[in-house]
Amino acid sequence: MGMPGSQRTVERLVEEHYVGLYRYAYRLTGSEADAEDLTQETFCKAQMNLSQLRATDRAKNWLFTILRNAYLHRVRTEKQQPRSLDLVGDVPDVLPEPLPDVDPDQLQQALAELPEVYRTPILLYYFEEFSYRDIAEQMDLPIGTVMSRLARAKGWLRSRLLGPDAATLGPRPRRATDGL
Amino acid sequence: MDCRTARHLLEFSRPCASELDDHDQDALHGHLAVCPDCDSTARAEREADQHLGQAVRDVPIPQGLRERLMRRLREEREAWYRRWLARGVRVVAAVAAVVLIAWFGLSSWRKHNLPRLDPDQLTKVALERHQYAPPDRDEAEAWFRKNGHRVATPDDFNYSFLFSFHLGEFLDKKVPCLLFVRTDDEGRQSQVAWVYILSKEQFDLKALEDKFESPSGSHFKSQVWHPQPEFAYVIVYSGDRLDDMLVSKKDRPRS
Ligand SMILES: [Zn+2]
Repeated sequence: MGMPGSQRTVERLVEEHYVGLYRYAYRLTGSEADAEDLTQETFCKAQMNLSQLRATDRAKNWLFTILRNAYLHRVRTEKQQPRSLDLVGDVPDVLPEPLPDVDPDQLQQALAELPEVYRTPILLYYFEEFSYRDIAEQMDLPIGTVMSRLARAKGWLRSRLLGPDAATLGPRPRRATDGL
Repeated sequence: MDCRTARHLLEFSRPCASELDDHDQDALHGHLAVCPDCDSTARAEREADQHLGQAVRDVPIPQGLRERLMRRLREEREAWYRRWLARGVRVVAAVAAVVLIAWFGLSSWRKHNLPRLDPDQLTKVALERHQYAPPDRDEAEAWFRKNGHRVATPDDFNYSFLFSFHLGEFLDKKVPCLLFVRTDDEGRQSQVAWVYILSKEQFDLKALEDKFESPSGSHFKSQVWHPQPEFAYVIVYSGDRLDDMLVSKKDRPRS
């Protein structure tokens, strides 16, 4: 770890990304305090490792990767119960019309029940509009794996939040675990 | 394009971050325009994504978060610089300690390792500062000149008694000095005289008087000659009188 990066650059990174990073952290942890801690830790690490940021247009990807690594470091010691997505039942083709309001607690609960390897891609996909390539880079995975995890995580959230009949769309009923 | 391909491409077609190239995007749009089934799936998919995406993004930002982040970063910076400074001070202290230890060690080593004397070397050093026989007045003056002292040696001395010449110390200054030694008939030393040649460039010679009071009770006597403005001679000699060391006036080589 070298000397702190330029104060101006660091402050600009905060201005541009603290909202997105905090939301990401909150969805990962489900706690305001943990989310704030993680966001602070992310920026502190960024400040001390600013020289590693080669291109400013990659700053968002870089910061989100730091945050995820910090999060993983925290939960590594926690015993993660591997959860199966088999719990998603058979679902019909169509979403209810209109789509029901999403209950925030239910949403956070559903995310918390998703294993991190599914939660991270769906969060990145939903909220900062990262490309599949970006997500793959942050998770150090092939794009194909990212996409299959995304599809399953989407199915999981839909089945939990948009009604039991809305986990997947398509001409034939599927199980969320198809193709695992 | 068939429906299967269209459903596959749909996964890559996102309103905000499409992963498709223009050709595939156009082909997909072409299919959706003519296939109501795929088109409705695409719409439903997009709506569901937007609906869930909005819900996922809907996280209130705590008040003052930005300020707390900035403050924490500032504190981290300051703490880093304090640690850096403290480490710098520790490094300087450690270096100083090493230097001190080394210095004490060297001093102690030197005390226990006094240089051994080499007689040849000592003789050589002595000869560099004192020129010995055959003593010669011109040679003495040349040697003083070579060592940075322009001198005029006193005319009154008998230079057959010149024994050596060297640079002596006088009031922290190097002063040319002639040593005259007179022996008796049996070769025994009977009288010595040191002649210090003081120049007006080194000393204020005006205060010197022709008559110089010899220190009482000493085995040696002294005289000061100041025959010319540029030089004065301080003569320290043994015996009662200096005359035996001098040439008679008629025999003086120079005037
Ligand atoms: Zn079709």
